Amino acid sequence: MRVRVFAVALVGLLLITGVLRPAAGGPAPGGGVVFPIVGDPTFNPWHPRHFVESIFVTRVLFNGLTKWGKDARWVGDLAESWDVSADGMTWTFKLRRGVKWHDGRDFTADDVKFTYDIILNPRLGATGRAAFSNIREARVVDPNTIQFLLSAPQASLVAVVGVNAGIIPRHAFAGVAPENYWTHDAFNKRMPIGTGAYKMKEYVSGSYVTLEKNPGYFGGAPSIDTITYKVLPDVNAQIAQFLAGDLNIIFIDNPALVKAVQGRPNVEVNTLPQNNFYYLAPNHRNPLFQDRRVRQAIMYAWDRPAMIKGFLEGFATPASSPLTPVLKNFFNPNVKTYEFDRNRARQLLAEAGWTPGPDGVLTKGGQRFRFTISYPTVQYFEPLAALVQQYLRAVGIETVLDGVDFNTFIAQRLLPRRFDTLLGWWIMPEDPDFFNYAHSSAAERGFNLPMYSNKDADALMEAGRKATSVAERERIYKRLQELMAEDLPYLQLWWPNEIRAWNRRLKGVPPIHLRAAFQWVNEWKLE
Amino acid sequence: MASARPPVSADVPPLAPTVTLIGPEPPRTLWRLAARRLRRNPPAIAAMVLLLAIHLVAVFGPWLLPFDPFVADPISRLAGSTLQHPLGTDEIGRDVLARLVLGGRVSLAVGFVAMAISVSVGVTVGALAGYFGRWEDIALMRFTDAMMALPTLFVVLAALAVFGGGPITVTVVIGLTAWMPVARVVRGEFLRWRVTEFVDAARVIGARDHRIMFRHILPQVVPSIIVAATLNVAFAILTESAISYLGLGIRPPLPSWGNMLQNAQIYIWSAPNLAVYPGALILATVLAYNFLGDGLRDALDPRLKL
Amino acid sequence: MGRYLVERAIQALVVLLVVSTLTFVMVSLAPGGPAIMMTMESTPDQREALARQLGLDQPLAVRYVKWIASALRADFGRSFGDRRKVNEVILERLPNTLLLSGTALVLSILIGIPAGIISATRRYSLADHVVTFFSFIGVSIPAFWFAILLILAFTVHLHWLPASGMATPGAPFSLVNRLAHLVLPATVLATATLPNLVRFMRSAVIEEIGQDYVRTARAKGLPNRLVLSRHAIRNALIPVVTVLGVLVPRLVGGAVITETIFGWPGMGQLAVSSTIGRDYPMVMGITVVVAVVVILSNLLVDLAYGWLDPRITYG
Repeated sequence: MRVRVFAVALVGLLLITGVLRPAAGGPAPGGGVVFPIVGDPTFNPWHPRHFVESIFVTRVLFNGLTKWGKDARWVGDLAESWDVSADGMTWTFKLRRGVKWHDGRDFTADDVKFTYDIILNPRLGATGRAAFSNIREARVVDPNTIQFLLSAPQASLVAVVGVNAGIIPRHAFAGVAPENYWTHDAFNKRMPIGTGAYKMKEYVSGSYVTLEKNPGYFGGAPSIDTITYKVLPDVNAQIAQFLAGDLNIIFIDNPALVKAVQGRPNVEVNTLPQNNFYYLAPNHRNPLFQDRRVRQAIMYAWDRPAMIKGFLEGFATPASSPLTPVLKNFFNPNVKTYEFDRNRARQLLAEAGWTPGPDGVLTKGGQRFRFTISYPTVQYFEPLAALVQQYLRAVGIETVLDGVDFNTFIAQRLLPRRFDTLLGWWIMPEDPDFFNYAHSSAAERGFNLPMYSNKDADALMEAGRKATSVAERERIYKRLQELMAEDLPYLQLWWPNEIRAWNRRLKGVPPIHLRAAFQWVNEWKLE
Repeated sequence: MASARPPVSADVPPLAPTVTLIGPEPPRTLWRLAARRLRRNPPAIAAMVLLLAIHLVAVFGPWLLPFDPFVADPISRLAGSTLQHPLGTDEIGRDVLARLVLGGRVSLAVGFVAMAISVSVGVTVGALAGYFGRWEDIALMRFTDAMMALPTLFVVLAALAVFGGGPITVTVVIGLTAWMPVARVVRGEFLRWRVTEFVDAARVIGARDHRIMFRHILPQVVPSIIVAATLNVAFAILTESAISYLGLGIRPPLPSWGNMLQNAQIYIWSAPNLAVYPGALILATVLAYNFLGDGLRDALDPRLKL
Repeated sequence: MGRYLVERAIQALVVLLVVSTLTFVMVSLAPGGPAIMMTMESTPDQREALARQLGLDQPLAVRYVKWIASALRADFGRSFGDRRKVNEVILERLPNTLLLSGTALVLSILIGIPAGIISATRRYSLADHVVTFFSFIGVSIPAFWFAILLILAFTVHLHWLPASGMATPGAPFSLVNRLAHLVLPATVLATATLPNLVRFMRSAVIEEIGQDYVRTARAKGLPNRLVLSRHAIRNALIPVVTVLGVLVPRLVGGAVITETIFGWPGMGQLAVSSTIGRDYPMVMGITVVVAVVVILSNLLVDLAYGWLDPRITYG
């Protein structure tokens, strides 16, 4: 008898504690956009934990001063217009009038200053603050005008203030000391207040975030009622839910997954070039790579079209330099290119003094041509590294693969610059300003990972920042591309295309990359 | 995860206190008896044959196969079966058959070495606790309980975060999370045997503790250890695949069944066979080890001679 | 009884101390650092500022003493990721994991016990072989592989069941919707534990059938069915309670994989992401909570064992 009582009690207890827990209620779904994100988002765009899963949410909740336009150029967002002083040191942004926060308060220049003070405060370590390093001070001129005082001219500032640079309300942090900004959960994790097209409705940690439309949005009232972001860490679960109709728009990170959604009824798969760049960064301080002919030889040694066609399902273009065709007028199509040519590679290596040893591996003065390829074990880097290894072996270069988890990769390879070569990628603002990624001043502490140092390149990147006319910038950056194609600060792999898929009922998504397209979400429609 | 612990039956204390003890049989009779019982157990025999085949292929296959598991060809990737590639190619055009064979060698090696580690640690801890009893027993068994209280995968995750995911670390970590059931079984056996007459007799003629433990008692415990070892190989192979799923297992380009399965995941829509082969091999191998372990238990455990 | 509980509590505290110290040392020595400091875009001054905020500029020993001091007040600090209170996050996630593993446990019991009995009472019959075969399949199948097969079959092809999450976002509460979301993950999780229960139940019943009192009951002329249900099975259930104690850590461990695949917002998923992100306070908090759950369930099992079997007393 006791056994039975025990069993019944156990089962009953589990049923009661489990299934019957109250759940968050709400209106029925439908009429909404449902998009997957890989983890719990953080709603403060400056929070150190504002990672990729948060970007798609905060770009809808908040507005920056500028944003990437539907016609692929920078346009005003919270700013209406801007101009720069003749010396390039003072930028003045005129703000849009009559903009209201989601809680009904007025948006003013004080909010912009509050936001930029957070970014400029070195003790807070706000995310992405490196991009703003030339801004010395943000100054309120009047409630509708903000001024940035620079420490050095930077022509790309219009792009800088438009990328993940959402303005947050001063009043939401009233009474909070700056050192507690990141633990201010009420705003960061529960009820963010923005100026964007959608406002916070419901957030269930680990499950989903639902935003509802903001009828008073200054960019025009949205048509779709809600946007729901579902937390789905597993890509196969994302695909399965998309195919089952539980998601209506997805972002396809790995081209291998395209086949899963292609050719399905009601599914539109589209792709477009983006301002991203994949590379093998050689350590320019390593004597192996100091001879330009060696770098060029590697460019000839690998068959990039074959890798793109086979491995990336064709969704990329071999890169001719780090600057991509997305930059339109700044892009230079007439630079040195590298076709797959093993003989040319061997010839260049021979010119550089490397001769094949008994086992086919090149040697010079008793030293074998051997180096490690470090990479994070994310995306498709694991198989990519294996392919690169094989291509290089065919011209007599021996490589050791060093794949580590992303965290270790950053901490032990990238930051201390302890690598021979590393596989990586840059997602860049749509501007040709490549200063942060290749200028010699950024070698130790900045993003110049290969520690490239070239006086001519430095001069061009400095001049590009100082230039005041578009024509002058075009000339400078076209020259820079010629130089980079020839001198190879990065061993260029490709410019990947962005691949996205959505339900055909979804219309009005502008033909720009999805992160930017979400900033125009008020114009999306569900038929 | 099926791998979180070896099947529980291995660490269960004797079921009823009424079990009659059988004195130390001459080993030869025990083994002969066991062999006879095993022969009457068709699933165990089938499992043994299958395992023999799998191990032979894994050990010798990589030398015999005319295919290279590392040569990639992005153009002929994800291909179906051809003469050149009997089981097709993977995501960068490497031969799937060659990788499965080499991956089998890696996975089985992980399984065996991890088993050796877990059995050595388990036997040592169990023998000390069971033989000496008293505070040694209490301390060691509380420690064992503490280790059992931690879900294996949590421990593995933390340990791999510390030591990195090389094949050696993976193996050692798996081994060190699987010794507890062995320790319990061995302790129970030692508790039983140390009070028997023949151990008393050994003590009377002046045998030292370690001699009694290892020369007199241990041989009696071998049957239980063999069963536990068999099940631990199965456990280790499964755990390796689970760790690989989380991206912390053996690193490609060296294949293991676990990491092949992990890599194949995003291709289940376009090339499901890439996931089917390693998954089926893991299933078949682990299944065979479980059947064999079960058959061995029936054959070696006189208590179940009903 | 009282003294027994006190002893167990002291032992549990010691186990917790050992477990937390080991974990603290392990996670602190792990290569890399908190994910918020380890991004492609972070600069040295940014990382220094964050390290100061997180208290990582202090020596390990100081950090450990501080952690212990606040852990004793049941305060696990703030996450190194989104900076929320660890307690708050765990309290959000723990019920979800309990729901999932509880369902899996109930499923295992409801299926495992009858299957074990059938298997034992009809030894070497076809039914026994089938049960045995499937229980071995259950312990041998890689869980994530099985999960993907199930998703392909029931979500993608048949459209019967949702592939992930706990409920349809924004939908009003509905039991049917909840249950539908539970089916696949609970099945995968139960698959790993069910076979143990079956095998254990089978041998326990076989053991009981061999006992003298069963023979006596049979000799008295009691019908076989009655002998089994009144005596053998009831007594066989008693040792089965112990197996539940072993299954709990297995379920919690299994939740790591299952929750990750099925997007189930529980402790397992949290454990994976916070380990990968080197979120030390979160990892520590989860470890302690999981250890407490396991220790508590073991204690409950022991107590239930004593209650069910009058021969056992704790003194």
